[in-house]
Amino acid sequence: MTRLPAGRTEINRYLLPWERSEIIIRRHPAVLVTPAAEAFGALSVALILNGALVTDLAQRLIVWIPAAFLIAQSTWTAADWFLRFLVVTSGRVLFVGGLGRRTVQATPLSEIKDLALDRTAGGRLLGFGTLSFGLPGRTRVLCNFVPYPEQLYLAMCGLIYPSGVSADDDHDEASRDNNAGEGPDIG
Amino acid sequence: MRFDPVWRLQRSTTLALILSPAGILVIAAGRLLIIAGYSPVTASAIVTSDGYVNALLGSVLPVIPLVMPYLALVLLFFRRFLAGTLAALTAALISPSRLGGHAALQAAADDLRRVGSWCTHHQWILALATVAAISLIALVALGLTAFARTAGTIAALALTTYVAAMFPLQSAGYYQGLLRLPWMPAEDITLTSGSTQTGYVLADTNVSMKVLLSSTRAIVFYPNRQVAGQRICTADAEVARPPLIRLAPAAPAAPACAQVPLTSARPGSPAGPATRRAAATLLVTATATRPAAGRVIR
Repeated sequence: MTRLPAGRTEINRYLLPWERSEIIIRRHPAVLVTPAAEAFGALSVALILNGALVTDLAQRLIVWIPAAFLIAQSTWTAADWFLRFLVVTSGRVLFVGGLGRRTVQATPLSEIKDLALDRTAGGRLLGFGTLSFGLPGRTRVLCNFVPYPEQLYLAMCGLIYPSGVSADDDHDEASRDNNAGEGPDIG
Repeated sequence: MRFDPVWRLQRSTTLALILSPAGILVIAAGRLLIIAGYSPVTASAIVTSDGYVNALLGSVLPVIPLVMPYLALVLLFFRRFLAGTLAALTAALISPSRLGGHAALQAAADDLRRVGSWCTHHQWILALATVAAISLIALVALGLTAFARTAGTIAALALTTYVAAMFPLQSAGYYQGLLRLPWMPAEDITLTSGSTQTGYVLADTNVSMKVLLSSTRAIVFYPNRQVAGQRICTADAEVARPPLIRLAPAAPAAPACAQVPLTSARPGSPAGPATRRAAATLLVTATATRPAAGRVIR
């Protein structure tokens, strides 16, 4: 698990006095592949067109305005990634961050009914996964591009099912609830 | 957080409003006014003659091929790969382009040759392009959708100059001419007096013919006994361009109209000052014959 002293100060603002942050992570850097491809691709294409084909100012603007937009957007996405955290405390799961607009979404650990981990082939190759958990009366919460997914999954299971209650037991209970038509929507 | 106007449009009332009957009605009304030379009376006369549905469809549908290439670029740029690809294919098949078929391919090949030549003289760009290519390949690991969307965005940027050259946004006169063309075919109407008027027949009854004159955008009623002949013609030959990909051989074009509309004269186009003078002469002739020919609505 990556500990981030730089992010801790920011995150401490949103913690209750008795709360202890157990896990603080950013999303996996694979999130940045798309903006990187867009930014480098846009820059390359704009430079090539500018050098090889563009002849007048109007064409230059047609090429450079969208390219500048893509580069700015990619830079913004990278900065946003740097300031966005998934925090698991002794009592809550928080999604904190945002570059322009700062958002804080909190979910009590006690309400999390089942925790699922999904790792695609690409995720296994690059080292990320998707964590999802169900909440009563709400759609499933998805947290994709999670780094160290197995460790995080186990650590969260340890917090949700502290002792004596296994994840499978709870999952079975949730399934029974579902069959009775009263449980969380796992689909 | 990414700025995605297409997503915002899909989830806002803007798109719903544009695509709603009210939005289409506003677009149709705007185009109708352009066709009618900004005369509400003429616009109303066109609508009442041609029928409301015909006027609505006729004024909106011809605009679609014009915006399709740029719509395709916008969709691809904002990561709508499938919709963008479909729009690009549609544009290649229906949008009037400056060059078509082999000439368009030749132009693309020339562009690629120039790009290749430039890159060999500026090899530092290859380092940047390699990073972009590696990032794109890495995107495959995140899924083909992510790869296609990003590739579409970069392709849209790469295609901007080609699309701007093939579908000439910069020559505003072309679009102006196209927007001013009514959806009915132009006709040369020969009168018994010997003069010929170019116009668009809005209604033809046993008694009279209602014509929207091409040159002045006035509506004229010709009694049937004064009409010696009619002939379908091409009002603005430059506007009738073939698409990029032509699936069927082009039908032989109708002969050019006798009168060139004043408004289609563009700098650098064949309809220059000389043509304008000729059209003005014809207009004077038409004005002189009009009292004998019939009533005029302006």
